Amino acid sequence: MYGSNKKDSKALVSQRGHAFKRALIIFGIYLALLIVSAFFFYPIFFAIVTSLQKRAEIFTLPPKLIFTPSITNYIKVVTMWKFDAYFMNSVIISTASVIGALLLGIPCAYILSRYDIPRKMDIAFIILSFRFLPPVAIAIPLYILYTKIGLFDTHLGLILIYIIMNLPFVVWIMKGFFDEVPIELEEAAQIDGYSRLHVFFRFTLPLVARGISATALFCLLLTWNEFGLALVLTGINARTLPVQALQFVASLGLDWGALTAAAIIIALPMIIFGIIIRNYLVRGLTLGVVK
Amino acid sequence: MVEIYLENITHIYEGRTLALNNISLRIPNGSFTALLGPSGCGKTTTLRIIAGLIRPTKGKVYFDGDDVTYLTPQERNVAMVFQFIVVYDMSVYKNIAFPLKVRGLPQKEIDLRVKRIAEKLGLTQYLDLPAHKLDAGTRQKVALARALVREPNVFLLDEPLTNVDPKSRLEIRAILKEIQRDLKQTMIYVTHDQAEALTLAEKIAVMNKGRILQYDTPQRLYEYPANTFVAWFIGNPGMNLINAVLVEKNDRIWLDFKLFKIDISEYRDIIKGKGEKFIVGIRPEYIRVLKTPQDNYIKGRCYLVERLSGKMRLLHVEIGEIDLKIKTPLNVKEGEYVWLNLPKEKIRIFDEKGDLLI
Amino acid sequence: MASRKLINIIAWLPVIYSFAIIIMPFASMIYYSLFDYDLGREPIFIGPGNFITLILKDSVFHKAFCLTLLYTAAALAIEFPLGLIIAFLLYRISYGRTLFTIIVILPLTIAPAVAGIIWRLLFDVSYGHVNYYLSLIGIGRIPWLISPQWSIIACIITDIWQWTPFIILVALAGLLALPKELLESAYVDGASAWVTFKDILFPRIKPLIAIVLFLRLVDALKAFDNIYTMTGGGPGTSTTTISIYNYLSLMTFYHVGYGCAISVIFLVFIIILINIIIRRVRHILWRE
Repeated sequence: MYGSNKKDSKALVSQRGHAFKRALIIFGIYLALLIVSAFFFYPIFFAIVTSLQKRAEIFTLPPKLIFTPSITNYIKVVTMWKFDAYFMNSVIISTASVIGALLLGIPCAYILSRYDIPRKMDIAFIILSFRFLPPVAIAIPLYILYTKIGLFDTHLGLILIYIIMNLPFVVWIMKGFFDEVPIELEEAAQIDGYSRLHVFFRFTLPLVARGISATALFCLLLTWNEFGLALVLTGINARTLPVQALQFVASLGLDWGALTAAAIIIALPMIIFGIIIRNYLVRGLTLGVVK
Repeated sequence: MVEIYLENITHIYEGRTLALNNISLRIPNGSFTALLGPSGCGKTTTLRIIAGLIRPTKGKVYFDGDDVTYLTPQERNVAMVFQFIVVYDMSVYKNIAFPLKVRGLPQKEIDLRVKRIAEKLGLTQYLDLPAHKLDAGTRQKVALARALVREPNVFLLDEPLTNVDPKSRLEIRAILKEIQRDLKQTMIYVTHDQAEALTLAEKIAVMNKGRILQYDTPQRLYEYPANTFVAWFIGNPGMNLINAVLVEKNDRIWLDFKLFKIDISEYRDIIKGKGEKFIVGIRPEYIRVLKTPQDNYIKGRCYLVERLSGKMRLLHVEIGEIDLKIKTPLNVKEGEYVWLNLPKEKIRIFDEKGDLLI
Repeated sequence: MASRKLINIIAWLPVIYSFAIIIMPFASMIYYSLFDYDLGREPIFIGPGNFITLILKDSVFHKAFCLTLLYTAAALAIEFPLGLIIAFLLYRISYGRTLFTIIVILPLTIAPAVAGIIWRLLFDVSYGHVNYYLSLIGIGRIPWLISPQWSIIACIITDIWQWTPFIILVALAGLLALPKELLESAYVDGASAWVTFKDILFPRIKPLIAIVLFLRLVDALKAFDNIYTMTGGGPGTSTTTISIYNYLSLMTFYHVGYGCAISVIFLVFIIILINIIIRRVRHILWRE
């Protein structure tokens, strides 16, 4: 019984062979991860490189990596195609809808976290259901309504519907953050004489400030990248960047340089935001369920 | 069961933190060893190196003379139970059977072993239940069973009873002693609780700051601590330690404590050449105390009395600048004067550095 | 200070607001779906006529339905195992995890519409890099966005590129939250990497995976952005999923009534689906 086990430990694999096997496995893992990273990174890499190339360099295969980068494409996109106007549209609409969602959603999230009201779960799950609505299905009747009341192709029109899109995230994620603030803290402050409202603004809110920024940035990311609703509900005036990008495909079709330049202009701010909130991404994507 | 020999193990974490400083340790076959020390002393690191979870920065590990430093835990055939109770998301039976199944043992053999070990640990009634739904004590027993079922070369335990309720703690301690006795299993038990170590282990390695200070039986640790740290650490409270200066007069040598002296002429040969300053230790329970003066007794004032369990009291007594703690059932009140005697055979003398001389 | 009534109102505010905005469109959507109404002409009431046509006679719709299911099934079938494996690999390494994680995040920050555009260029038959790299390993030029069969595959690949990171991030977060002793115990017990993952780690992250599965399922069913910018539904109808068909019928063909009927069917389908699923994952989502 014991003897056989002793033999097991005595059956020494040569130390060198052992270390080799381990090194091989680790090498394999890193290799696999490298390939995977290349897959995820390549399209972005391609877009960046192409946007900095001149026409002749773009269509040469194998892809040319050594070249002198030029920003002509970017200049072209911005000046000739009024990209800055669309950029502003995206900024205004995204920011306003995020602010709107925060104003509506944060108090609601706080109440869901702290109070016990009838049908609390229903509220939460109704709000959650907004996350799952197909934008195109909603967009169609919305389009009809908006054209009738003059909200078509307006900033406000998109903002109003984007707020609904952001609410599930704001409410669920912020509820999670509020849950993490110990209620004893608020109770202690209340015992010290502060009113509920005062406690909320002076004590609780600063503690979730990080959470609010992360949520705000996350919703910004979502609305900035939204396409379906914007496609249907905007014309020329309120058109957002992703929709304009599609226009580019139609008008610039073969000008890959300009196309990728446009793509990068749209994507770059969001890449930066994404990296900033990378520790909160999982929380955002799963609506606060996974921390 | 194997004999374990650690040879000159030094371990540095992340190139910066020195966890183990050139330790060597020989753990006899079939013994129950405790690694005892304050947090951060390196006991868990030592255990993990023996397990094979960490490869030491320097030094080697031997099982029965074979160099296992580069082998995985599986290859060394070690079993380990952690402070954080680990049960897998499966039935108790499957938990215990897991290591055997991984090894590819035939189902019949697995069944035999699992049932046998479950019986030994009192888990038979739980075998078909999902393991993660049971209470802490039972779960740790499952973890124990899973470790023991493999009949490992050495059984390693890292503070396994910390997260277990007191009643189960007693049960498991009894089980551990029984197992060690019956199976002659080499066991290494990490703990910071000396009561646990003193009750369970045959030999204890006292560690501090990455060094092994003494590896000995509980009795010897208690009576003959190798240095002042061990003297102070072991015991509740530990040994009294006071500074003294060597004085030579009239062909006799004394230890001078300013307010009293102790004649140590019979130790002249040992003491000679070891310097002038010494640390003297004596355990609180060995100091004789009286309420009335007596020859050869030193006068002191009791400034604090702590009641201990039963009739015992802990007296804090000051003799000038010297502070002594005494354990006695004598009814002394705070502020009273007492007379103390330090029996020579219970005095331990340490040199300036803290190592035991006498 | 705040009365119970006020608290309730504030809590219901988001719902009230949302309903206020959506109620009219919803109502008109249902209303128009009962009419034969093309933009510019007079609406004619036909009751369930649109629905009957859609369900029984419209082969494009049937095809759209199948395409949607195919797209969803294929994308999820690849995203999940791939995502879990990569998450496990990232879990096992000590150095470089941050760097790899940042790279993995990138596809999630790109608008699906923009991703569709970039991949459209990559899938170009003559100058696209995909065909170029394939030619390096001996595979001939695939008519990606030209052939009916390959274009839907191209869309699925784009989806995989975009959303596998989602699964990777969640699975990784779940794994990292597990106590390290769990992994060590499995290691000491001698379990191989596969067994460790299958029997010990995976059961612990099952609730998380369920959530991700739920989210991805619904999102894949309503995928629109990347498909539309990449193929516009074509060639022909080979990538016309339900969302695309929905969009096209109104915005391209101006079939208002018909388009609304498609919207209704689609919405009903989604609502029923999420109701079934939420019932089962409710306990994971909402811990009191």
